[in-house]
Amino acid sequence: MSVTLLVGTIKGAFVIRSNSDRTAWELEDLIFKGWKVTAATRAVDGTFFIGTASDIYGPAIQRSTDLKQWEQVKRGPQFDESLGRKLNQIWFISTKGDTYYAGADEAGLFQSRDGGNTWKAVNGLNDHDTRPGWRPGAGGLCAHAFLRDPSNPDRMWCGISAVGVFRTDDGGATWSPKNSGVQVIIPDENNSEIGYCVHALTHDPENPDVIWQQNHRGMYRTTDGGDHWESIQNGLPSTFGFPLERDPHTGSLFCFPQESDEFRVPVDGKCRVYRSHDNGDSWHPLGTGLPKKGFYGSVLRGAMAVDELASCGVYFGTTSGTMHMSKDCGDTWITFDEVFPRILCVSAFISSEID
Amino acid sequence: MVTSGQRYFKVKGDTIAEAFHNLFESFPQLRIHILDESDSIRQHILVYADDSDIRWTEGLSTPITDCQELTVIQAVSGG
Repeated sequence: MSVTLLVGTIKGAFVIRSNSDRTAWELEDLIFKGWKVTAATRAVDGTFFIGTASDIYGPAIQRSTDLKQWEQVKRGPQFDESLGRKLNQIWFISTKGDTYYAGADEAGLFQSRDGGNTWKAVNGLNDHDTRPGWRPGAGGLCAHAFLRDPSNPDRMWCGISAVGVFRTDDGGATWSPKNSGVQVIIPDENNSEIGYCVHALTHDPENPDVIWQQNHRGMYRTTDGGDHWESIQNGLPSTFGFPLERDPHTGSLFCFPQESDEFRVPVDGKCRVYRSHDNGDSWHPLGTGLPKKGFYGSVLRGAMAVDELASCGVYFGTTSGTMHMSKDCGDTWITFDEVFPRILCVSAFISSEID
Repeated sequence: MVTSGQRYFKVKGDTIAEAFHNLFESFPQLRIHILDESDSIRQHILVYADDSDIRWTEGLSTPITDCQELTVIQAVSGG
């Protein structure tokens, strides 16, 4: 089974495809050359969606049925001009249910009920009572993480950097901060429920209240939908990192620890993914085939993906432009021959479902 | 892409704002790439009416005539 990776960079998205056993990869295409490609996903009906951005022309959502011919959606996420907010980047596009969601910088959540053609703001979150206290982190003020309960479309979670995790139980009408047990990063003088720097979220779709969080201050887990979080650092060499992925078949978790928020490079210059086989109770380094020393590229929050095949493929790209692939749940790795611009996001698609 | 590759357009309007408005009627997805949330020209886009940079005239309110040529270019500068 071959896999297609869409590697979004600051200068376009590189489409690379594996052979049938995922041992060799070839560059197939470069799309949106010169534009940032910041997010990618595929809907149940097979339509691909990507977020593009340009320092000159601004952000947009594009869609395609074949990764070749693209069209900009009719009306993408936009803030009402009276709010004085600025849309800088699409951080995620979630197409798993009937209603699609997209997260953006400046922090905003948007929804589409017509297959991604038109989008409107989710004001229950965007105009939250705590918004006056929202402050941007180093990566901006961005709504970048999103989970939904597959069995209850009214229950969703959204993560906003330097603000925290919010949950809705009424389809997005109201949202509550869910950060109890997480170490605060920037205390707000008026509201102790915000100031928590979530970097990534993942969960078990079959037990969606079990959620893992890579935070600015460490790795956390909740078993009650975010009401309480616990630290799960056992085996990790640092508390800082961005991506967090989960293989739905084995439940294995993958992260990429980095040396502190000040340096943001792999610890000791070793390019290593850490994996947990026990729901985050313990973490172990994976480095077979990865650069063993002198590696100082970091991995951004969207730049790791799993492919959901039975023998899980794990993929990550770095700010140095290198792409690394594993076909065996992270046990061994290969590095792609070509070096890309700074990698912003990586998404994996089963090729047979594209052709 | 939002104009299907078309690069030259004939549009009407008494001001540059009206000309853009009429252009966006035909190509609505183009709007967000030219104007920001406050309906201002994006920071790194330059618009010329013939040889005049509209930043130095009346901006989007600059009057235009039927036979004027408007040019939209990206300001790629610095380093």
